[in-house]
Amino acid sequence: MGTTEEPEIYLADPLPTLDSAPDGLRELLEQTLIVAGAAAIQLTLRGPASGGFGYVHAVVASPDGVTFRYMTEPSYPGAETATDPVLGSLIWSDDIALVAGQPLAGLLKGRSIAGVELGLEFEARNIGSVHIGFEGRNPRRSKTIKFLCALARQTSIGIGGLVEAQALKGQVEQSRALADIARISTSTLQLDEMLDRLVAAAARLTHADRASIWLLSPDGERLLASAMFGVDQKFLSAWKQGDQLLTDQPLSREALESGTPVVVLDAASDPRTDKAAVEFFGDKSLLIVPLTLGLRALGTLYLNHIEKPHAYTASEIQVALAIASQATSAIENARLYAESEEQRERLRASFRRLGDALGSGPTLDETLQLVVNIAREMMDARACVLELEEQVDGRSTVRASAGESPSSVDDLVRLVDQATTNGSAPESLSRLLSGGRSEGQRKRDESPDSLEDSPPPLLSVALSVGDRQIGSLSIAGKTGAEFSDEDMELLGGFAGGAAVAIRRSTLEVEVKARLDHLSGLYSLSQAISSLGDFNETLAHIVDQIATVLDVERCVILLLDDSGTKLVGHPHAFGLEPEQAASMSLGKEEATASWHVLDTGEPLVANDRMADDRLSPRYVDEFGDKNLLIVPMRVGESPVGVIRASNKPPPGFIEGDARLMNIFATQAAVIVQNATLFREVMREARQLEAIISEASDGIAVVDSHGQIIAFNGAMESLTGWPRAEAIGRDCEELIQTPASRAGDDAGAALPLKTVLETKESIPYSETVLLSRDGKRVDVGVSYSYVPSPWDESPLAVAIVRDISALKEVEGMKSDFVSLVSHELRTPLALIKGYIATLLRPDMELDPDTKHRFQIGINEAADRLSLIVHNLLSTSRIESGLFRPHRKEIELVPLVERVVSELQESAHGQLDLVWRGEGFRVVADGEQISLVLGNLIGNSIKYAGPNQDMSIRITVDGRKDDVKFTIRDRGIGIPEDLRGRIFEKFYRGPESQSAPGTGLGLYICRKVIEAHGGKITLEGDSEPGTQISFILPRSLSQKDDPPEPDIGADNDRRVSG
Amino acid sequence: MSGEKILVIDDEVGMLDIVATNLQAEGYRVVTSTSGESGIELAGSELPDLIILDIMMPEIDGWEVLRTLEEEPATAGLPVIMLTAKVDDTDVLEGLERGAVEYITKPFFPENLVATVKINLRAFDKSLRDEHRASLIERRKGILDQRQQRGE
Repeated sequence: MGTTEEPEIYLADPLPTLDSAPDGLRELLEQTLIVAGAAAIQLTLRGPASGGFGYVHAVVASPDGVTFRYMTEPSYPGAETATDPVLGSLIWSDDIALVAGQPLAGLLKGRSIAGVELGLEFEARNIGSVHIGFEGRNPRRSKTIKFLCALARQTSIGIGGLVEAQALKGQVEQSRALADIARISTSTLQLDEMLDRLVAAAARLTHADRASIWLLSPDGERLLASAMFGVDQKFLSAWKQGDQLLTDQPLSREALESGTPVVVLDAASDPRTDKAAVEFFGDKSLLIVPLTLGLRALGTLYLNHIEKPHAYTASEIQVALAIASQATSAIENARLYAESEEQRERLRASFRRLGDALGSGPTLDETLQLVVNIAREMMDARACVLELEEQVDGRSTVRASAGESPSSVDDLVRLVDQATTNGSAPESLSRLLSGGRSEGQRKRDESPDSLEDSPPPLLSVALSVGDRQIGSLSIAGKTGAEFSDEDMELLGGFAGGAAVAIRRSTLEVEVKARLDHLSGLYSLSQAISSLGDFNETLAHIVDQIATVLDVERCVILLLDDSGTKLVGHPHAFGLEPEQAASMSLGKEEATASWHVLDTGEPLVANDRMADDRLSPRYVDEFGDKNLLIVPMRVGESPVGVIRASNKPPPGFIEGDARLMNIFATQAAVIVQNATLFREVMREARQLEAIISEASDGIAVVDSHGQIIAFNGAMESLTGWPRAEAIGRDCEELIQTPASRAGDDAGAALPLKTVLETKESIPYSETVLLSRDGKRVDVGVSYSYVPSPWDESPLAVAIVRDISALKEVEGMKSDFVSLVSHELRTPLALIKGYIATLLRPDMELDPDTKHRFQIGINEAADRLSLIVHNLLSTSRIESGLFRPHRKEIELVPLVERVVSELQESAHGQLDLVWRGEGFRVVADGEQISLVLGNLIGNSIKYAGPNQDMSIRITVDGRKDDVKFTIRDRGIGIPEDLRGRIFEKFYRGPESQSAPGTGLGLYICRKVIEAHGGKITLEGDSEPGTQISFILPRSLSQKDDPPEPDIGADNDRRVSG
Repeated sequence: MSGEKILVIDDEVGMLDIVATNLQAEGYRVVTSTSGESGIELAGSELPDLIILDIMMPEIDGWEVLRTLEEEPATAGLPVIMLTAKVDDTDVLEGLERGAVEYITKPFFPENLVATVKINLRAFDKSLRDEHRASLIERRKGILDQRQQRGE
């Protein structure tokens, strides 16, 4: 076979061809690709005969979708060295293309990905291998491996079934063609027409571009073109008129001299070919089959492949031989036709009958009976029997007979048996058709044991299809009659047609049964592949078994989780679901089912009484007469058993157990798959739930830094929805603002660095920019997740929002600088006043001196308030803050605070008293502090207009006193209202104003410690209105007021 | 007495009083402002020879005032002395970089302030002032770098 630069893709063997069903295969492979989550799949099938070449089907998933390549390439690079994987084996490789060879490597375009090779088996035969490549993920976890093995098994079943079905279809087609040929040769066509049809059939069946039959001239020196197929019309007549000297045709001569076909694979280089003709016609490969009858050479059948070279297979050569034999018969028949007018009439009538009968598509038995009837009538015989060889043991059994009386048939059978025992049949008989009259068996049994004095003459001819003998046809003559050579030739000629007809019928029966079985298997494996409803699939299997085996009951018993009980699956055949589900066999019961499960061997019991292994329980309950139990196993682990019972007599045969074993294997795979699938799904769901529900953001990237997981917390942190984030480059998507103005934004989560350094980072802090440009302070942990294959590790970032924490930190740090500023300002004033007063070179006028003294006093007060606030805060923080309560009169206290602040407020403080009774139990000093802070704030935030109209209202109510401070200052924005009482909190408007952010916090703490409440009241725009309520006395549960001896001294009443 | 005009901007009335008293004693004419906004207005209308500026003020703060003064052609190039309680080195540096000629922290010695004012009002031309400021920036940066190296 020629090898060219670019390997040609052609089909070497017509069987099995998957051309007609690539869709099924493609579907199966694509399904496997998706279910396994793989990136590429190559399927290599071993040829059934040669074992040395592969049919290659490759599927590669790419970003554009799934690419399917179908190649039937007998010699792809690496095929010779590739060894069959061990049955059910599993081999890991870091570069699967190296293991898989050229097809996958070609499709992957040099990309190197890791993967696994799985051996495929079908009915315990190695049928090929599957290479599955994975990209960017790690399938090496044990569950994935199990899952892959299960997948390989179901792929095996599906592919095996497909391939076998195709092979059988091919066989059926072939046998149909042969039957057509038989019909051609049994018809009464002219010889030329008959030969024309034969060459056409030969060309079709061997895929030849041209076919021709050349007949030898009577002197044996010339070859005459007698029939042509595939030859241009303009050459046809010229060819038919001319002839060729046999001596100029070394190939034809070789075929005729050896009596065997001659194969020329490369016509251009073969020394035996006529180079001018080869070049003219463009022949690539040739097959020359001799037409011989016995030793007599009749001519040759010439097959030419022109389009492309062709490697002839054994079965194609067989077909050519069969056609040659038919051509020989046709030629011989034509001769007979011419020779014997009487015989011709009989033969023609018989053939016509047979041909007509064949046309109506009879059953095997009908065909056989027809053959014996026709043969007996045609030969005017006493009896006729037809024996067929059993396929299993090669023994012959009588399958059809016809005779004057039953005894005449018996006599004939005995005669045939004797001849067979003598060793003269059936081999010698088999040569009768092709070997000519000289080797025919004509017998006059002269043995003394003979029951009759003058035994009838016996004539036996072989029934052969091509080289293969399928049986014999024997007739017994009338007493006293004798068989002539012509009789033998007549029967022989008839047998040729009859054999083909019989073969066709038997094949059709076989093929039909096999196809039914296989289509069952195929639909089953389809069901498995779809991983559909587990119960439905098991029910389907049970129905299949019951139908195929013709049993009354079938039930699957599955091992329960504890592994000590076999429990009936509710979907059974011939049993109600409740009845089936109630079946339960404990391990201790040592029943037949447990025996099968333990030993792994099927059990057939056609006579239950004779078999003491059977548990009486269900056998009696169901009234089972016979029983077949097969184990369901996946590898070494038992899954359960299938129990079929009550097959009509004669009961179960051995083939049933084998067939049911196939079903059991599949059922086991389904159970295992379903279990694994459930486990994997549960695991995946758990993991997904953990990731998606996590309060921390989680992002996972693959080895290229592309995001492959992104949870809900991450979505809200970054503002990127999961769907948009997946597949994006993490470092590009999530950025951190530039540290200095003008710099570019950088990657917020340096996961690529983690992948490069292979080091996890326990914690680091950064700022990420959300999609809408918001800054989010985050704390991140980075993890490097190694992989057995270095090229596909993962990196994980766990991101926590720490902006709240950061804000508090920021407020604290602001506080420190604020406090230093706040302390510094009054200090600077005091120092400035005093330093100026003390300047030796300056004499100040008395007014200035007085003003300075007042300034010093005020500044000292401010300093004192700040220190007070700081101390209070510190006390609140350390838990030491407790008001020293005693009964006080509010009027002098409030008036003192107001008058102290009146100057800073340009005298615009307005104090209003409402209600009556202003005595409360409280810590006077702390209440002064609160009032000072609140009024101080109103002054501080008076706004640009310095509108100081601040109103302080004190409302003496029944149980409490309500204070309200209202100003017309800058106010507090709506969105900040909830936060102003927090420690260190300062609104943006207040950033430039002095303050520590402690005032309102202390106010709240003080009021709360007094059992009161401080609130920011709305609708006072412009300005701010803050109220606090001070209970008159404490409720029971609070601390009692401290007794204060000097209380009376503080009581001052003021108008 | 030279009678140069000096604008003092500070939200603390007491501070204005102190600074004004000291400068007036030296014979300078003093204009005061308690807010950034009125400070910018006065700088434009009074065209003082020198400005003393506080940073921490409500509404418009000292930085903003400084920037606005530099942007206005009438006031651009006026010597500004920062007088503030912000004492961080970064603040000092920022002040100088933004165009202030001196940076005096509170509390301060009045004699110091008066001396600084005097120096900056002398017949310094602008280029000399810029040079002086540049050397100040360099010195400050050097101090900051040393601190960073020491890990402070």
